[in-house]
Amino acid sequence: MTVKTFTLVANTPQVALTGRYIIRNVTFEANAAGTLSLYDGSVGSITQSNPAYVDGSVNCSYTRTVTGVRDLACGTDSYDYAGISTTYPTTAANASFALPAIMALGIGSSGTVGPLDAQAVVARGLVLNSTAAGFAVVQYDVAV
Amino acid sequence: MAAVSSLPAINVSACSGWTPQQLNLYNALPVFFQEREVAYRKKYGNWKMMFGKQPWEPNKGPLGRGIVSEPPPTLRQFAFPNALATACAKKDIIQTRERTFDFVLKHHKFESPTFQWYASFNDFIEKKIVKNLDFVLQWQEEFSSQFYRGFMFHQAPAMMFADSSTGVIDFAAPIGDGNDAGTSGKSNAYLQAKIATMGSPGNLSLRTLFYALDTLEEDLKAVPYQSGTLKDDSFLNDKFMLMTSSEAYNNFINDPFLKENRRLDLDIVQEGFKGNLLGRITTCLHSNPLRILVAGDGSISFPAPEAIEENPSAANYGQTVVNCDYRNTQYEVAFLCGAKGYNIIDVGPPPAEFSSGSGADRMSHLQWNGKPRLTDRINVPCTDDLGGTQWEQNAYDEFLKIISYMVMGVAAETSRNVLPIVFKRARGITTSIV
Repeated sequence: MTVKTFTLVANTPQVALTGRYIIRNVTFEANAAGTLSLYDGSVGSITQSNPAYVDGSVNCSYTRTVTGVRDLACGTDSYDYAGISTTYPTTAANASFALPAIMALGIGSSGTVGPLDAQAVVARGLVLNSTAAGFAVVQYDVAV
Repeated sequence: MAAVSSLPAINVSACSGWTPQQLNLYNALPVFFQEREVAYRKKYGNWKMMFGKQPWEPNKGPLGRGIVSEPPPTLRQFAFPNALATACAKKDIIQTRERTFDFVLKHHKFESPTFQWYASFNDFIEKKIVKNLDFVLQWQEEFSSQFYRGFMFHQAPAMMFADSSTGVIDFAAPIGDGNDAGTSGKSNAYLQAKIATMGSPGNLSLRTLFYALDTLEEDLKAVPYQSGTLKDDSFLNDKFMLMTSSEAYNNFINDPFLKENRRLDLDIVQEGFKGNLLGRITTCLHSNPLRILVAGDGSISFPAPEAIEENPSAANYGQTVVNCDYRNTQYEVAFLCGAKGYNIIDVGPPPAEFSSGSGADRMSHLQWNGKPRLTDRINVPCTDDLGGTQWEQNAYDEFLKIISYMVMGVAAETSRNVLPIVFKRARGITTSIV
């Protein structure tokens, strides 16, 4: 178990750890109201540039109608088939996809909050971002 | 220091002093060779165990199409028939539908370098060609495993991204055959975007696995392995199978759910975790699992699992080692499998006119079952008077080569029976004390 203290500059994401870690506890101390968010990342940014990609979409109440179907008696029929429909639209590129915060600690006014028993796993690294200047104390185990 | 003459001495006094022998006066071998074979981990998972079989029919074109009669869907949750005495009976009309799946054959060739006879005559290690033959065979086994695994990964209609903030199951993941460029099937761009949504803890926990199990059985309607599906594998009866790495399995010792709910006599400190998972899942371990490396900008790659130490001054120069990029990968893929999602295509023999050979030349048979064999039917380069390279037949039989040709196929009969799970790699044991 390692304990490290990081000085936080308001609204400035910083890479606290790089690599795979199990985060055990996080304590947040600030001189003003603020929120400390933790991200799984390895660069000093909480957004990521994603290229366009194909992903599925399901229409749960899809009806397909087939008309003009001839039967043996030379009748013309139409059929409704009720079901679902899966399509594969292209999701547009997002140059600033917001990485999800894996956890957050809020503080109403100056003071300390925590420790948060996190049991979190970061695979890329730990990025800290606080809306107020202060300190973060992180207890972690190396998970490599 | 004694002065020692390199010549024999004569008339030496009986107690003339210390006369040691000169150590480097005589010849000795500078080094001795010992041939050693060491044990290596098997690299390939037993993917074939999970599959059914399906024959290929020759002379009927390049594409096989399986037709499956689908059971009609259940369309109601209540049934309210009319009372016999007061109303006419209503009726249900039941009709079945069909769906199709297509499959094709793939082929790949395997070769050794061209062996020259002199190395076999001169070098210390004998039977090098036989050894190489074994490795060609192992390489092929690994190749087919990678082919099956990649096919399942890219054909799976649903994917799980552990603890994703946008929904852990993607029920309509892109499907395709996959390619080296990462643009087909579950493209690198798709995986990059999905992996970026994965939150915490995001590892392969029992909680994640429990969710995957329910999804596979309830939402994807996969059926577990049944008695008789697999010969001599009764441990799989009425169970699903998890194909994963030792690392992920070992990590179950550290699982919060296990720690909270383990039997008091389950000694996870000295005996480790063992047994099936949640009573429903049997695990099959394999090395070199599918792992994903994410760069700082979020882009992903699939690094080669192994490399060779090529620093001539390293102590283990020439050793096959884990590729550092692979070691540093952050994400891994496990496969939770139900029964008979995929079928291996039983290709059968090559066309008789080609496989029976011509005349007395037994080397000329077309073989495509992946059996490595030796051939001397190669061309060798020689230099003509003008310094140009010409190719002539191996008429002197100075060279040999191992060749092998493999035709294979796999059909996605019910691809939803396999659910790939992308998860964060994690190692380490935590306690409540520190």
